[in-house]
Amino acid sequence: MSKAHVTTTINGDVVEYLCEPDQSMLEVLRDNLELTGTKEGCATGDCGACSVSLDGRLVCSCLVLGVEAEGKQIETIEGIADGSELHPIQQKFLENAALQCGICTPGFIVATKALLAKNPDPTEEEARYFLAGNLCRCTGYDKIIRAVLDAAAEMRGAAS
Amino acid sequence: MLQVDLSFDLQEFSSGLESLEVEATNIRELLAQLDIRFPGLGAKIEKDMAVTINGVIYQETLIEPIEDGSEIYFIPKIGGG
Amino acid sequence: MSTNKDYKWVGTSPIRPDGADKVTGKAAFGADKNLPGMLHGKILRSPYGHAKIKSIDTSAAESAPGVLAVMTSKDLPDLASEMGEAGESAVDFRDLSQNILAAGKVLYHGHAVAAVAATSPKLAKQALKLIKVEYEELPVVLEIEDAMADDAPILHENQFTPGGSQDKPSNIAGKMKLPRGDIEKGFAEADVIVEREFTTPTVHQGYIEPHAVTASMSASGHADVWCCTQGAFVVRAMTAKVLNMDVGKVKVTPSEIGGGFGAKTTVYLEPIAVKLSEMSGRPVKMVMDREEVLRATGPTSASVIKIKLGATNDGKLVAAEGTLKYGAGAYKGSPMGPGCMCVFASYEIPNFVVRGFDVVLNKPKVAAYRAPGAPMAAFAMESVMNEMAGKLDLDPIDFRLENAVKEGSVAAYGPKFPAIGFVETLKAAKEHPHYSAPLGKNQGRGVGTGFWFNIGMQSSATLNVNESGSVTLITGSADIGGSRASMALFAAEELGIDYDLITPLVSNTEEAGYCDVTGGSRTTFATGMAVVKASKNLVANMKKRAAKTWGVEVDEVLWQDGQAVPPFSSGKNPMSMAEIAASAAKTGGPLTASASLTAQGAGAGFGVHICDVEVDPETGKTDVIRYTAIQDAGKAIHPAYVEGQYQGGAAQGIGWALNEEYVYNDKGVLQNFGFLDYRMPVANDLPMIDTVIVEVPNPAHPYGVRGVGETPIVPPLAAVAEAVNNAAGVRITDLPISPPRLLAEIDAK
Ligand code: FES
Ligand code: FES
Repeated sequence: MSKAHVTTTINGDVVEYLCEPDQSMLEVLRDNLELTGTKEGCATGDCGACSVSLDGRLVCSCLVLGVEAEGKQIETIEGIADGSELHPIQQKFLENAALQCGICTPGFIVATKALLAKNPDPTEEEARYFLAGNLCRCTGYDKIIRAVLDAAAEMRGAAS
Repeated sequence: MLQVDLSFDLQEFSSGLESLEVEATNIRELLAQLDIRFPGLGAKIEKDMAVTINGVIYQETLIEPIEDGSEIYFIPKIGGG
Repeated sequence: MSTNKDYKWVGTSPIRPDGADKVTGKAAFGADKNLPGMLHGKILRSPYGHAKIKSIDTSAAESAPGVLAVMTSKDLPDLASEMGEAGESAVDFRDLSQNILAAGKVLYHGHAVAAVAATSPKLAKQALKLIKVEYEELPVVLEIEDAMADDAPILHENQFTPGGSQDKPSNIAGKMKLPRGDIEKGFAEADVIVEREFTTPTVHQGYIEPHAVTASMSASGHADVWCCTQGAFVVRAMTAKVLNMDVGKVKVTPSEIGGGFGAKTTVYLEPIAVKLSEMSGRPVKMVMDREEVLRATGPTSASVIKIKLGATNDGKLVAAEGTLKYGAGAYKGSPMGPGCMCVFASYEIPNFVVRGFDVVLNKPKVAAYRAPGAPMAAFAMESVMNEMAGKLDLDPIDFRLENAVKEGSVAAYGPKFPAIGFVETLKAAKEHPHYSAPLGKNQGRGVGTGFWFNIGMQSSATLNVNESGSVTLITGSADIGGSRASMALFAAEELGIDYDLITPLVSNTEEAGYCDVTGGSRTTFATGMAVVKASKNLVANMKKRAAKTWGVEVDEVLWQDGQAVPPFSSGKNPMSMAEIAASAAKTGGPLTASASLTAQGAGAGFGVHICDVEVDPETGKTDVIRYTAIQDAGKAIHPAYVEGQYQGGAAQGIGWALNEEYVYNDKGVLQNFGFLDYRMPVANDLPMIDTVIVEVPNPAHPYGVRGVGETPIVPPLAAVAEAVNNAAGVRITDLPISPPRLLAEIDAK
C-alpha cells in the first residue's frame, strides 16, 4: 500500500506528512508527528480523549482518517495556549483542581473550547450534555464542570 | 506479659487455643515465642499476617517495641487500590 | 471540626506543580515514550474461555516480514509456586507468570498466549495471524456458585481447598472464618431478624489510559523500562522475578499515569516487552487497546454475599452472620479477606460469624480496585442495615449511631480501634441540609456508610537544596491524583518556605529511594511521613550550619519561618534558608537530606454518603439528582484533591450500582468490551457531588492524616439501592440496577 501525501495546517503551522490510507488522524498526530498531547483511550469514538478541532468542528481524531486532513485546519491541545500564556480554560482547570490523573484533560479542554465557541454562556446542564462524549474516571466531573462554567464567565468578562 | 488473641484461622496451629499470654518486648521476640509454643505459627504470621498492637496495625515490621500489658491480634495483610 | 493547629501551607489547595504540563499536552504518559529503532509488540490472545494448549507453532510468524522476535511461555523461566511480596499483597509468582503468558492451559477468553515484536504495529498484528495454536476446548465455569459445586470444571488440577480434601482438586482456593461470641444465643435475643442474599457483577476499574510500556534491553543485560504504573518498584520486582533477573538489573521509570485505581499495581506487558527486546536487540513498545484492557486486565471480583442480622426492638445489634463468596478470576487471590474483615467492621456486634470463600473461575484474574473487597460487603451489610432501620421504625443514621464503633471498640477483625471518626461523620451527615431536604414525586433518598483500613508500607524521600535556597523533592511514589502538591505542601510547612520554591519529582527506581505502590491510600500518609522526616533532618542540618557560622551552640538556634534564628545574646541577625544555602560550600558542602521508613499506624477512614434518585416508572431508568459524600480525612493536606477523591470514588460507586457489569456469553466471551456498552458514568449522568471533610486526626501521623482514596467507593452501592427502594418501592439485591432489571421489579410489584 503506498502512502498518501497530505498537506494541512496544525495549530497554525503548515505541515506535510506521509501516511497510510487507513491510518487515523490520531495515529498520525501521535506516531508520525509526535504530537502526543492528544490521547487514545479507546480508538472507537467512545471516550473523547482524542478530541481535536477540524475546521472548527469538534471531532474524535480516532474516527478521522489522516488523509482527510488535506487542506484543513486542525487544532490540538498543543495549540490552545498562546505561547507560554495559558488559555483561560486551561487556567480554570488548574484553579478548580479539575484534573486528577490528567489523561482526559487534553480532550476536555479541546471540547470545552468548542462548547464555549458555540455557547459562551452554557448552563450546567448544557455543559454536561455537550461534554458527555468525554469520559473522566477520576473526578466525578464536579470540578470539571465548575472549571468550564468558571472559564465561560471569565471569557465573557474579557470579551465585554 | 502480653495478651495474645488468635483468630479462628490461626487456632489451627494452637489446637483451638484462643488466647494466651506471652513475654516479649518487640514483635520479633513475640513471633519467636509463639513459634516455640506452636511450631509454624510465628513463621505463618511473619509471612502472611499483620500484627496489631492495641488496635494499631503494623504490616511488615519485626522491630516495633511492645509495651507490657499490650493487646496483640493478628490479621491478614491488607493491600489497597 | 478541623484540627486546631494553624498551618501556613498544609490545608491549602494551591495549583499542582505538574499542572501546566497536563493542561497543555506536554506531560508524557505511558504510550508517549518512543525510542529510536523501536519495535512494536502485540499479543495473541485466547479465543476460548477455557482450553488446553496442545501445541503452538510460531515458525511462520518468525519468518514474516518485519518480525524480529516471537515468544511464548516457553521463553519465560519455569517458576515454582512461591508466594512473594510484590506490591501490596502477596502474589504467587508462578500464577503471575502464567497470567502474563499462558502455559499449558488458557483460563479465560483473552488470556495471552504468544507475543510478537515487529517493525510496525501493523506487521506485528499480521504476524499474530500466522501463529498456529491447537486447542482442546474445555467447559467453562463463570458463576461463583457453579465453580464451587462438586462437579464443576476444574481450573487448576493442583489446587486444593485448605482444610478440605487433599485428593480432589477444587476451585475454592481459600477460606476464612471470623467468629465472635455465640450467634445462636445472639439471634435468640433478637426481636427482628433480616436475612438477604446479594450479588454484584464483575466490574472494571475503567482507567482511561490503557496499559503501555517501552522497554530496552542492553547487551550488558541491563533492562530499561518506561511504563505507566502505580509503583515503579513493584514493576521492577515483578519483572525481575518473572524473567529471573536481579532487581538491580532492571530500571523502571514511571511515566505520568492515566488512572489505575489499584489495577496498575501488577504487570501484564512489562516482562514480555523486556524479553522481546532481549530477543530482538531493539527497544520494544507495547500498548494495549481498550478491548484488551477490558478482556484481560484487572477487573474486580463478582460476589455472592448473604447477610443475616438480628437486632432488638430498641435498635441494638445482637447477632450477625455473613457468608461472602468472591470470584478471583483465573488465579487465586480475590479480595475476600479484606471483604470479610470489613463487612461488620463499622458496628459493635456481640455475636457474629463471617465465612469467606475465594473462588477461581474462567474470567481474567482480578486486580485491586479501590478498597478491594469492601464495596460488595458494604452493599450487602448496609442494605440490610437500611432495611432493619425501616423495620424498627428508626432513622437510618440514628440506628447506625446506636451501634457505631468508636475509639476502644473491638473491631470485627480483632483489634481495638484507636481514635476514629465514624460517629462524627454520621453526625455531620445527619446535620447536613441534604438529609432533610424535601423530595418530589418518584424520588427517594438513601444512605450508606463505608470503612477502609488504609495502609502504611515503605516510603523514601530526598530533599536537595539548591544554592538559591529552593528545593528539589524526590520520591518514588507515582502521582495519580495530585500527590506532588501534597508532598510539596508538607515540605513547605516543615521548612517554612514558599510552596513555589519546591519542585517535587517522581523519579525512577535507580534514583529515588524505595517506595511501595501508590495505592491503599498510602501516599499522602506514608510518603508524606517520609517527606516530613526528611524535612526535619534538613532543618536540623541547617541549624547546625547556622550555629557554626555564628559560633553558637546548635541547641540555641531556632528554626522559624524559613530562617535560622540565633540566640538574642549573640547579637547576630537571623539567616534565611537562601543565605544558608548560598554559604553551604563553606559550612560543610551541599545541603541534602533523606528519610526512609515503614509507615505504621495508618488510620481507618469512615464515610457516609447521602443519595437522592428519581426513578422513571415507565422505563426503569434511575437518575441520581443529588449526592453528598461525607468522610473523615484525619487531616486534609490539599482539600481540593481530597474532595476530588470523594467525588471520584462516589462516581465509580454510582456506576457500579447503576450500570456497570461484565456481560459474558455461555462460552465465557465478554460481550461488552468497549466503552460504548461497558457503560461508565458520563457528565450528564451525574449531579454535582457535594462533599464534607470531617477531620478527626490520626494520632499516628505528624499531621493527623488518614488515607482518603479508598473509602469513597464503599458507601455508594447501598446508598443508591436504598434511594431506589424509597423512590420506587422495590428492593434490588442484584447489581447493577439497570433499567430493564428495575422495570421488571417494578412491574412485578
Ligand atoms: S480514543 Fe478517540 S474517542 Fe476514545
Ligand atoms: S482526571 Fe483521570 S480520567 Fe479524568
